[in-house]
Amino acid sequence: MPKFDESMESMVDTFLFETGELLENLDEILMRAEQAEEISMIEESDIAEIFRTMHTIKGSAAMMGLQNMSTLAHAMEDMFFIIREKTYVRTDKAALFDLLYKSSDALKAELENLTDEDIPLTDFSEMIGHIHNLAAYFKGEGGTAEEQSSDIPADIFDENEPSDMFTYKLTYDEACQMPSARAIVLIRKLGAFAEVCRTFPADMDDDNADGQIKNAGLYIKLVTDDRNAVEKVLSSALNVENFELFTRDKLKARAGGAESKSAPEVHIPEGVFLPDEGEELLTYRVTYSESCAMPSARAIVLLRKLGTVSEVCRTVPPDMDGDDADDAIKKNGLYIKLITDDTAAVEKMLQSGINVESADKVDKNDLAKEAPKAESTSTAEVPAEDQEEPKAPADQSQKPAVKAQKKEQSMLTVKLEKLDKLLDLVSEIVIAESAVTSSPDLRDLDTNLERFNKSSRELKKLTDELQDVVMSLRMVPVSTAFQKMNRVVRDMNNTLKKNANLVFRGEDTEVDKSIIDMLGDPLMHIVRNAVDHGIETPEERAATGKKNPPTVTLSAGYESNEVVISCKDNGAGMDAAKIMAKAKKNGLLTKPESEYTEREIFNFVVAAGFSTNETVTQYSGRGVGMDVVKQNIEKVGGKLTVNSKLGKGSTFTIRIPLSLSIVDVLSVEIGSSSISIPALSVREAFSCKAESVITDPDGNEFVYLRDKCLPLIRLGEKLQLETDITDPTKGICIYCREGAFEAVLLADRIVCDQQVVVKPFSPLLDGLHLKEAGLAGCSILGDGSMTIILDMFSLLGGETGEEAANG
Amino acid sequence: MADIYELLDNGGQLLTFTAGGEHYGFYILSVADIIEMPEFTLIPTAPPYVLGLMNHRGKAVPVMDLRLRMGLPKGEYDDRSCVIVIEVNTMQCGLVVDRVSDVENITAEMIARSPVDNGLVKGFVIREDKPKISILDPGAVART
Repeated sequence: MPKFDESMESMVDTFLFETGELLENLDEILMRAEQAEEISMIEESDIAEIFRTMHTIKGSAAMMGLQNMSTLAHAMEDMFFIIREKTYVRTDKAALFDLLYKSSDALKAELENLTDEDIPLTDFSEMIGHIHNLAAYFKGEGGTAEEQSSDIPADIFDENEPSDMFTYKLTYDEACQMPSARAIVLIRKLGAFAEVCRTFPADMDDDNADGQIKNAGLYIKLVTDDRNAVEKVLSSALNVENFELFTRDKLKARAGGAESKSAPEVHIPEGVFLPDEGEELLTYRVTYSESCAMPSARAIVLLRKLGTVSEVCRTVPPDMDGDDADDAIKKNGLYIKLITDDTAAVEKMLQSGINVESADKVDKNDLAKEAPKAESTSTAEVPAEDQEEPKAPADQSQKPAVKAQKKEQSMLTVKLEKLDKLLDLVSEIVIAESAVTSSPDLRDLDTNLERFNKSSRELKKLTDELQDVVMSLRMVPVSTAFQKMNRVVRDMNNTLKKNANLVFRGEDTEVDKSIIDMLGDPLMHIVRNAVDHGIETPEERAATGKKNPPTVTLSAGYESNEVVISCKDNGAGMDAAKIMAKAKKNGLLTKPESEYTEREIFNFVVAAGFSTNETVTQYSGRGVGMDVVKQNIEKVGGKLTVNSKLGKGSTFTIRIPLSLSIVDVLSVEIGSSSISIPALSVREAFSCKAESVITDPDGNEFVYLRDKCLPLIRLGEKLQLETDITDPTKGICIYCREGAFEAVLLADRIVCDQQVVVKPFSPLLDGLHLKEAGLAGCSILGDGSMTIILDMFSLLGGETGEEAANG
Repeated sequence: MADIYELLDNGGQLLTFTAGGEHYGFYILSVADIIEMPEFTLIPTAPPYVLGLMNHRGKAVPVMDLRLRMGLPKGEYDDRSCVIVIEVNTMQCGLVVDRVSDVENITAEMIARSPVDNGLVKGFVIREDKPKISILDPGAVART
């Protein structure tokens, strides 16, 4: 059986997407709100935002017919209503946020299972109960008079009970921790003067008894000869605030009061009939059943359906999005004014509407009868006729139906594959474009290519722009991946009590969507690892004299053609000797122990089957996590490296190539090899004069260029390529700068500047450490040949540079 | 991806070839392609056994000389030299061999497993009147 209304089938995707986003967003706000020391100190805007989010989820869930989600959201909304209106008398922040996170998780889980028809809808009633209890706690146990009366047990007066039976209602003061215990003592005392027949709640040992007594009071039914003695006992009982003799009449009075509130007489609000209305305009009054949580949401659906057989002119209440629409509909019913040729179809549709209790045609003549009554009601909820254009700017809590429509206009959800295909095509167009415009055939032509060159420049401009736009489509700031870690750290802080802070750096760095998706899992493992294994317990920190707060820093940025994301903790760090011993024990060594550098040793941590923590915790320790992380990163051509300082902390660095990115390169030749230098790092290409080449006594060579002495790197020598040109004056010098590093590269000759798609080297070649040797990857050119692309960072800075950067 | 242990445990088809006078075999399921000698792009700083990169169907696939990889002396390529493209974890690698010989059915009993766990050769097929075939572990051979 489908979980939602069939008519809503088409909306499922939108619902899942939007609600999912809202919940993600909610987590973020909750994280922020939790920073406040007291609930009263939470930013009002945050409270409003949470309230609005829950309201929207409630609405959309109700529209989808998902009562369970809707009620849960409703309970949370109620909770925040109390917080927003500050009607609470006491608070419990920890319990509140615990519940909020649990509810948010429950909703998320429900969303995930929604499309799977085998999994039934989850029953949230227990969680809702918890929320209600907490809400009651916030409001103070007494509650208000109305609430008490509404909670009077229905069967308190038995039909055939004797007339000499007295009913006393007791209320306990707020300070009383366990009224049920007091009640037991009291009832025992009363036994001396009276025969206690029944109590409400009936069972004082019941777990709920306290709550019931706090909310509704304690009712004692007894038969006695000595009323004075009974009342004396009652008045002297511990913690009893007051007691009263409760009679049938009192109950009736209250019940009647409640009744008149919840089910008012039918009356037609003002504005239903306008004086200058045509006769053909029909008016229907629709009432919804009591159990319908959000009639306004149902009304939106109903109105949309009606649109197929009639023209709906207006409704009362006019604005289904208004906060008071639900109340107005519950109170007065929904009035729909429409013009139709097919009255029967309209009526049938009205009757078959979900949760519709009744749908009647209303005549103008009825108004005359109702008029006096209508006047007697407050006009607050009754929409006046001039409110027909209802979009007051203050009204921000929009219902999802309307929101969805609005979103469709400004946003479009596209399948990622289509975007990928587009990106692939654009990459190829760019390459093809450079293949055409710089085709070798053109060089041999004698004719004037002026017009061709003009058009090709135009074409290049356009393709460049096209490429930029398409690339930006897929770019997402890393903060989306980072934000999720907030939650991970928070949860771990709660269980592990490590009070770790999570700090973001460079979270605006934009990377490809696929990288974000891929990052989620590895980041979570790494962050968990940092908190679980890296950060010490507060006691351990105090013992080692660490004053700085335990911090995990996530940072992101670009370096050459890579996105670098690192997770740094200021925890215990790792002990190289211990890791070595463990690696040896686990048989991970592939060469003699003495040949391992410290860096290589630390990287054992991410090898398969390695876990330094002796104890397996809830979060990590089985040694399966990190090697999976490493594999996942390697799958996209990335690298995971580990660095650590015992006592200072560890750094896990993920480097992912912007693999699909197209870069401008300057291609040069060395011997017969084609080598490409990323154009971004190229400052200048020049021919070098013999007198500018300086050799120092140690044999280091420099090139003197405009007051600067730059190291000379002969590419042929550095890259072990055979070439005849070793004299700097015969080749071409290229002055390059990457970060803080500068050098002059010597190549045989410049071939061209072009755009290429960088492909990282196959992971099979990892053992060659090509990156460390200054090679970023390769690229297949338009003619099928390949060129090698340099990694300027390691070429110019070398290993030392990377060391310094990792700090 | 075919697991080499599948072959060692259950037997299967073996693609046999020679390099430097030695006979070798790959489990047929780990072989993606057999192609003629392509053009290579030299990878700077790479050791001699890595010949370079080839453009194989739009991908830059590394190519190694099997003779040098096996520690045998360098030899000349002729018109029967070819490249066997093997697949390891969805990653491809080309290996230059002297010539491809045959596809043989091998049962598990015919295989003598190598006692070395992390070597390039995982087992041997030794039969009378026929040369010894070393069964190569594609993962170990392709990884540098």
